[in-house]
This record gives sequence, structure tokens and C-alpha cells, in this order.
Amino acid sequence: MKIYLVILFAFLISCSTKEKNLIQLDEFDKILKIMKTKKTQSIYELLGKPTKIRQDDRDPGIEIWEFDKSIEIHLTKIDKKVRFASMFFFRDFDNYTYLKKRFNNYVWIEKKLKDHVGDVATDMYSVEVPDLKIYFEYDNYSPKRKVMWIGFE
Amino acid sequence: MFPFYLLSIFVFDVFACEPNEIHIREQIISSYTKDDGTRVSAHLRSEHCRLLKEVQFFQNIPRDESKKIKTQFKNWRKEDQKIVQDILNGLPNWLKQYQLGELLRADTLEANHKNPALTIPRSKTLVIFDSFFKENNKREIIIHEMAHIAVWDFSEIELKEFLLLNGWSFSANKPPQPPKQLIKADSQNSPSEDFANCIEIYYSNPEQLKKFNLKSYLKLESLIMNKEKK
Repeated sequence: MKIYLVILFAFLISCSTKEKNLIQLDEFDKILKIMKTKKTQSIYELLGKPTKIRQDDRDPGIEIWEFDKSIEIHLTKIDKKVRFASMFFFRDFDNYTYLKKRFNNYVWIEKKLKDHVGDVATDMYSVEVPDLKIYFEYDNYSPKRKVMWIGFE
Repeated sequence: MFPFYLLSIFVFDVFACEPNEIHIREQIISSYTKDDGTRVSAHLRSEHCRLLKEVQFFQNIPRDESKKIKTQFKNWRKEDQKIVQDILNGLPNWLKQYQLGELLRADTLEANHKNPALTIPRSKTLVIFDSFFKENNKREIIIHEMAHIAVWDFSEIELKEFLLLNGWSFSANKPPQPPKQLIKADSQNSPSEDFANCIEIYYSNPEQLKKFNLKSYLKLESLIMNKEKK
């Protein structure tokens, strides 16, 4: 009987470990966690070391830390405080539907933006998820509604 | 948490549609009855790529989104078709692969009478206006329009690198910020417009592009070469 209990116990532990491994943070979770603390320590813990650090062309007081090309964190140069983060989101599926489902549990504010009268037809919208301080724009006339930049404050 | 990640793995598959395909979004299909009497209940159709058929090419009547364009559509004349077809046949290989969903003919765009052509990237629609036939740079115009369709097929890393080298930046709660110096005035409209302008100038006046921004020129050249190899 004892041996059966030990086997059962070992099986339960292994199941729980497997589940823990499956519940991994995605890139959105990581950025949102960083934006909560706004500290460099959480950047290192969640994203590791930046692959590149560059100067912000428009603001000499800001430096930009790049991570694997798609994530960028903007920090003040002197005291290294996180100002905002961005992610270049240009995936090969319907980006809008993915984001809508990803942030399904939060208030989603969508506004129609003015379209440019040019040589390409656009149907532009802005999206705000105020609880998470997320902002992005998308063009409903683009094939997969790829959003390009997503901002996190 | 757990079910969401499982769901995201299976539902959000990659749909890198081919240049002769069109991306169809996830949609709810209402219940219907087939010709043989089989009843199909309402269901959710996942996003997918659909092959474009050549019969949809030169069209006289617009469909779906194209109907919203404020212009007067008209029938294609054979001589106009030949001019456009000859240009399409002579496009650089990577752009020539793009099959259009609709190729329409119209008089003028209500909001901008000088516009020679217009694209709707989602449906791969190209509209040719009267003024197009008066222009000397017809090939460049079509290259520019095809670039508006092709831009959405570059990889995340490739496109971001090009846009950063060209001077685009991003601040929270604002649209993407255009470069301080622009290759053409309307480049400020969007990254897509800037990209299409650069592609057009790459083929019409590469020296101008080299002088304007050598790094971005070299990046664009490598992007094009990679596409040409495929």
C-alpha cells in the first residue's frame, strides 16, 4: 500500500511540474510586468541583457534598450527609469483578432482615425486598453491587420 | 491561464500566404443547405489563405470594399488593358509574382483628381484612373502600388530594421513618428507609404536613394535580393 502511495505522490508532483512549465509568460506578460515595476532589475529578470542600446534621436535624455529586435524599452539616461516600452508586432496571422482575444478580459477602446487621401485605401483605427496602458493602431484594409508598433506606458 | 495558451498554440497558426493567394479572416458562417440537400450548421471558419483565380483579373464591376471607393468605375478598353498588362509583365520578378484580386478602371478619385492609381492591400485590388494614361512614369506608378501590397509580406525583423534605418520611431500613445527627412512629402502618411516610395525610387533613381540614406538603401537592396531568390 505504501509503495502505491509513493508512486501516486510522485505522479502528482510530476504532473504539477509539467503544468508549471507549460504556463510560461509570453512577451506581453513580460513587458506588462516590467511596466508595473519600471525597474531595470525586472528587465534583466524577464528579458535578460539588451542586445543593443542606442540613443533616442528625438530626446537626448532617453536611451533605448533593444531585445531580439522586436521589443524596445525606453529609459531615462541618468537614473535608468523605464519611461515606456514598445513591441513591433507584425505576425503572420490576423494580428487584430489575436490581440482582441489576448486582452479579452479588459476594457477595449477603439476609435476611428482619419484616413489619408492617398494612393492606398486605408481604414485606420486606434485601440487603447486603459487598464494595461496599451496603445496601438491598425488598418482594417491591410491583409492581416498587422499593427506594427504597440506602446506600453 | 492554461487553456488560453493551449488555444493560442492551435488557433493562431502562421498564415504566410503566397503572392497568388489572399488572406481570409476568421468568420462566422451561417447555416446553409447544399445543392444535394445536406444541411450545414452555423460554424466558425478559421482564418486561411485562398488562391486567387486568373478569371478575376481585368474587371469592370467592383466587389466588396472596392465599391466604397468614391469614383466612377468604367469598362476596360482593350488598348488600356494592353498598356497595363505589358507593365505588369515587365515588373521585377518578386513583384510580378503578386496576383491581383481585382484590376479595375475608373475615371478619377473624388478626393484627389490627380491620383493615377489606388490600391487596397487586403483584397489585392488595383484601380487605374484616367490620369494614369497621361503619365510618363507608368511603370514606376505600378511598382509603387504593388509595393503597397508586398510590404505586408516582409518579416517582422526585416521590416522593423528597414523602418528604423529610414528614421521611423515610436512613442507611447502616439502614431508612429515619420523620419525628420523624407524621401517624398507623402512618406509621412505611414510606414507603408514611405516603403512604397523607397521601392519606387530604388527602381527609377537608385542614386537618389543611395545619397538620401545609404544604410536604408543597402537594407532595401538586401530585402529585395532575398525576395528575388525565393
